[in-house]
Amino acid sequence: MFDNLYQKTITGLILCSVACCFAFSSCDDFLDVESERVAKEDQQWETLEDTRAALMGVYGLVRAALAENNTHWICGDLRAGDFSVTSRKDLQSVVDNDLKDPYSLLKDISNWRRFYSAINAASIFIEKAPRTLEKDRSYSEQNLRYDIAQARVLRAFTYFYMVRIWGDVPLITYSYDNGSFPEIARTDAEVVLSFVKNELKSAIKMLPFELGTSSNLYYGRQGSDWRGILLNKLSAYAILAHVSAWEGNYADVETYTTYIMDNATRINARYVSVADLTSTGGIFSTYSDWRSSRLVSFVFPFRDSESTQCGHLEQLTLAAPMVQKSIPDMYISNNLLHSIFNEVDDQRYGIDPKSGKYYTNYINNTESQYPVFSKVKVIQDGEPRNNDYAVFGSVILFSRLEDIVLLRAEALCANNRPEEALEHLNTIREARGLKVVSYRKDFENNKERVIQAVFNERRRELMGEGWRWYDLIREQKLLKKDPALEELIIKGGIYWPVDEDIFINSLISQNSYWQ
Amino acid sequence: MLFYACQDYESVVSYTPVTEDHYEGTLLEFLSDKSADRSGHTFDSMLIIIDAIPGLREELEKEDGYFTLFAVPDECFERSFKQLNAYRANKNLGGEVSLDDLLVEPFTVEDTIINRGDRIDTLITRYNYDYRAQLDSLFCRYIFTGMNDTKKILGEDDHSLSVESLKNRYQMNMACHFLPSSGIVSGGTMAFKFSDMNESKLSERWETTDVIQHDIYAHNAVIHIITEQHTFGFDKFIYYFKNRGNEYEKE
Repeated sequence: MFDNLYQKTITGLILCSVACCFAFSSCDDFLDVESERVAKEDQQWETLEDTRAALMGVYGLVRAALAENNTHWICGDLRAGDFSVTSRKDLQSVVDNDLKDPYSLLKDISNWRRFYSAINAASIFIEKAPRTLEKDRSYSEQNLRYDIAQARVLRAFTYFYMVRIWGDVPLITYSYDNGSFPEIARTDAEVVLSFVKNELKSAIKMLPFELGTSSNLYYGRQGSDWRGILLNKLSAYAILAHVSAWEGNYADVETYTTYIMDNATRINARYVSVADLTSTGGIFSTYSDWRSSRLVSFVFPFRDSESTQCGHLEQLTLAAPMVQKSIPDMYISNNLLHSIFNEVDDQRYGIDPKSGKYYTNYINNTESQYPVFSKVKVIQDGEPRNNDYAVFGSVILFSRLEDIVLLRAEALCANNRPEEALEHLNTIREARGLKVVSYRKDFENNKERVIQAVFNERRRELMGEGWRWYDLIREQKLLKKDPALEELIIKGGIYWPVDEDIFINSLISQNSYWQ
Repeated sequence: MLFYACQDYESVVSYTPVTEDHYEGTLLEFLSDKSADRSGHTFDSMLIIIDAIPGLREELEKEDGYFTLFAVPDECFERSFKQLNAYRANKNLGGEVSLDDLLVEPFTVEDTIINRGDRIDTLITRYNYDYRAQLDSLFCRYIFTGMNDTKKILGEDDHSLSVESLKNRYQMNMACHFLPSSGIVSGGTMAFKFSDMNESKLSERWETTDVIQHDIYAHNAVIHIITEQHTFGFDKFIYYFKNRGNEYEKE
């Protein structure tokens, strides 16, 4: 009987342990099973669709880097610029140049990781895309050349953008997609910019004015469909012109801007009127009739469900009645508006001779405590059925023809040809309803005053397009009139601090000004 | 969608909540009393105009009168003149104009066209100018008879009340609404808007300014103070007075 019991116990125990074995071990295998849903590396770079997805991915990452936390406007327009802040303390810190204040916004903006995501994606593309050429016969050599050229322009653009924000940044030109993760130190801003220029110059040779023709489609579309959406030859020139201006190399700026202006018709880039600049279906709207006038832009088409809340000036500047928000985050005060727009005929913000009222192209609710800066106002697709769902479809516009014309005027002044500069300044002035100015009568043959006038015009024309801060620095370098800003330039205070999370890389230390 | 509702957390409403206030004195005493709580504003320009326009002070001192006044801080007048003078400088319309220039007695200018052989003899046209009346008309758009306090406005449909001005029956609009706050519609503080209706029922055509302190009950009036960002006369000031001093030239 005891034997029986003993046997039963043993059997029970064995059964138990076997059960336990199953119970505890069964999970292990889950970890070893590879997911069928993950697109793996060896499945990539096989077809035309892969390269298209990867290239659009690079565009998306560059766009994200600029859009995240509204970097483009916070760095470009808010910092020491014309905007006042209503109640957000983090934004106020940017205005005051207290960029190390403990706000998550400032921390996130000072982290350059998002820019390196874009750079890495571009590098991977440049390295891996040629593989597709061998595997997919529909992927032509020309297509590959266009793709790689765009990836190189995007990478160069990203570096240029970073240099403007941080000065010296690590120059990484290889994807390190081999498992290694080396620490890389900062490279001098000059070296980075010379890399940027070389990249742009070689990409320019590869890029056409228009991607694709009706008989030779580029990713299934013809050239006119890609206008204002992907980068072309003149986009690369526009970036190159700005890189040279940032370096102070105005002889090159003049060459590049001249080239862009001479060839603008080849991509159908035109001067845009105030109405088409500021209307909801105007140049800021992705599929606008004016999109070919966007030389460099990153789009958020609502139609393709890409519109967002963040990444648009509207999120900071619009308020009731346009969106369901009581007061804007930032605005331009009434008094400042009148000192910036000091000529009453200005169609951007002046008096309409017909009605005797102020134009509402740039500003709405002028009488209110917080005037609404409404130059950019693409809610949803620009024609929302209601304004309850406030996502925005406006593009991040880096450069358009007016920007290039004014940059050329700036370069001509710097190259001691102020009278020619005035021709270009007058082009813009006339388009905005202002009277033509002459070197002798209006500027008393004073070159410095012409430079000032060019920058004042940029301030008015490109307001809210992420230029003011960088313009202020170039203006200071040419005119040397603000000792406080001069000191900032010398001490490196014009750059942003680097976020502490970056210091995991032991070779990187804080910018000297922010230490 | 659930999460979007929370977005307004970011925009902290910064309107100062203002409580009901009583002032021991009349409307005119309030305007000149520097010790009263007036959100740090002065109203000397209003007083000058009240004194300069014949009959206005008497009207406001009437024993049985009760008014609603939108008090316009001096900064608003200053801004209007600054903009007017900038406009005149831009358009070469002459030197700077000040408040005194607009408070002159009405006058007439004769324009003579000498006969050049037509049938008509020498033609004399008379132009009558009365800047003071124009200023009076603009000014009275801030004054209304009767009590229009927030309680009354909130009792109206849509919390919006259109009222005729003290003189010339010009329509202005007062509207109150509660701002959204913390994702709750109408959960925030109240915003009080004062609009020039531009002779239109369509609110898109109105010019609107903000009231920063409302419902100050004086003996013969309820007073609301307008933001100093306002421009006196809304956007009509330049249009009315741009040609001052150039009366001989036809507009």
